[in-house]
Amino acid sequence: MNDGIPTSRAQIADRIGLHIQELHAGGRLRDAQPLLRIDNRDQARSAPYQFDAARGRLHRAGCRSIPTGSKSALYGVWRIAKEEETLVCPRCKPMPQPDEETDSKPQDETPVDLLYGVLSVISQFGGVLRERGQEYRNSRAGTLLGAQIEKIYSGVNEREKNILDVLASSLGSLAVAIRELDEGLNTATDQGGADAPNAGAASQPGEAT
Amino acid sequence: MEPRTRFASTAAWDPGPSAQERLSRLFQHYRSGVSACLEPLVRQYNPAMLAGAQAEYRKMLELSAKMNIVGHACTEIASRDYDARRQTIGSLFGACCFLADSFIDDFGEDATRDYLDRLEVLLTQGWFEPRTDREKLFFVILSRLFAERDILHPTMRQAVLQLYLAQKQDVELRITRIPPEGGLSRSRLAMLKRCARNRSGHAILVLSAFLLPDLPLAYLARMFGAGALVMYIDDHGDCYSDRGSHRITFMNQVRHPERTLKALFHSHVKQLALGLPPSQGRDLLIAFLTRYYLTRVEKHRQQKIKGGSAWAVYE
Repeated sequence: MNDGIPTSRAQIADRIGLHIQELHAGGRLRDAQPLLRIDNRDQARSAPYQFDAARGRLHRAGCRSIPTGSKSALYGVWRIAKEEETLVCPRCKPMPQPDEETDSKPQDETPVDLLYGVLSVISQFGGVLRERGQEYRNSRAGTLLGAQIEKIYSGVNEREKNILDVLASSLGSLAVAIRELDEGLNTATDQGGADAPNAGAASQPGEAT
Repeated sequence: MEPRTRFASTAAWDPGPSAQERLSRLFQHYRSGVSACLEPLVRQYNPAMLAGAQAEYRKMLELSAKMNIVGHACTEIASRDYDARRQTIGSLFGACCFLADSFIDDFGEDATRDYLDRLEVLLTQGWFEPRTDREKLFFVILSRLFAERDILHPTMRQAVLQLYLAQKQDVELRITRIPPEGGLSRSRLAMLKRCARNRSGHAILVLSAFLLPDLPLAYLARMFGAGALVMYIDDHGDCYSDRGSHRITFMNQVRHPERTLKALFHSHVKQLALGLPPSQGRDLLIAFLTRYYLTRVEKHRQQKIKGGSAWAVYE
């Protein structure tokens, strides 16, 4: 029955999700920045069209024909498909505009948003990453890795060093984050061992990947 | 429980015995299938639910099986296959609804308010911070459900938020004390009816959005109506248990509940029959709603005589 996310990956994602919530509950995250905002009420209210799901009628935003009883059943709509023109309100007669596709997106979706997204995650978890990084640097594995990096670093020119500096500051943070989560998972698995309630759950019928 | 034939309709929209037989077969199939999806999660995150008679766990499976039936019909109406991934979505959605309802219904008014406040934080900021095993299970199920689709799709986001707002309004209305004499005003009754409509109307749109990311608006309206009908039926079946817990609903406040429900059932099913293109999915949805209606009418009658819990009848 389960044909969605492969079970092992899903289990790791479960642990990561819970771990991030624990970090927040313990005040270990850098700031009060939201993790995920599903609430899009402001965007929906400012959409050019409103669909009354209770009556199956599509209105322009602010149309006076929208019944009071339908206010709690409205969905913001940004684009009208050809086959949906039969649903339009006869009073406000919403029609698609020629430039609608470019001007009426629910939000500005640019590649820069992705960059801001990555930066916000690093910023949000920065405190945890730095703390774990310091611990790792002082560990035996961290010291060995550091010596190897120093060796590589001494053999490259200035321009390459600059590029490496930028990459290292980002990748280092990500690597530590992944390692911390990995350690957390291993600890939880070791503690659970063979007696863990979900031992062998990956081979449960119906959970096949 | 077997439906009493004297309630059955021979109206033109009735999909007939073949649709009912298919419904029975699918119910059997999903009753056994949902546990394969949910049992490992329950065992890992809230094993107490599997202890003893497992009454609560079985109720969760039953609701998930029901959501699979509705999901199956919704998907076929849109000419898609209700494949394994969608079945997983149906199961997760059912479990999610069950646990969310339990947070609202089973732990007292303070816990209900606390849950609603935290759910708002979850929806606006992404933080939930599970405190108990039950909350961990809820969070993991919700996370898996969110991971199945683009949760930031505009329709999906709106449906989830609308569902939350409907639940919140329902909680606010339920703590309204019923006047000793004279009943509620018409406007108050209309508000209760809208609230019932929204609770399940938006819920079925959340399910539909998870199953079918690109929903045509016409489809959205039909499904919203089907969801509303489910809630009217459900509230009629739970009339006495709701009253017992001082919870007011449209169906336990209206003067002639059975007559009202019958009118609602016929008008909503007629809209589905006329508004949706002929398909196995449409027939399955109507067969499901018909059976749900008949069994809940019977449940209402039995509980009027014997009393009983909201979960005395499964099918």
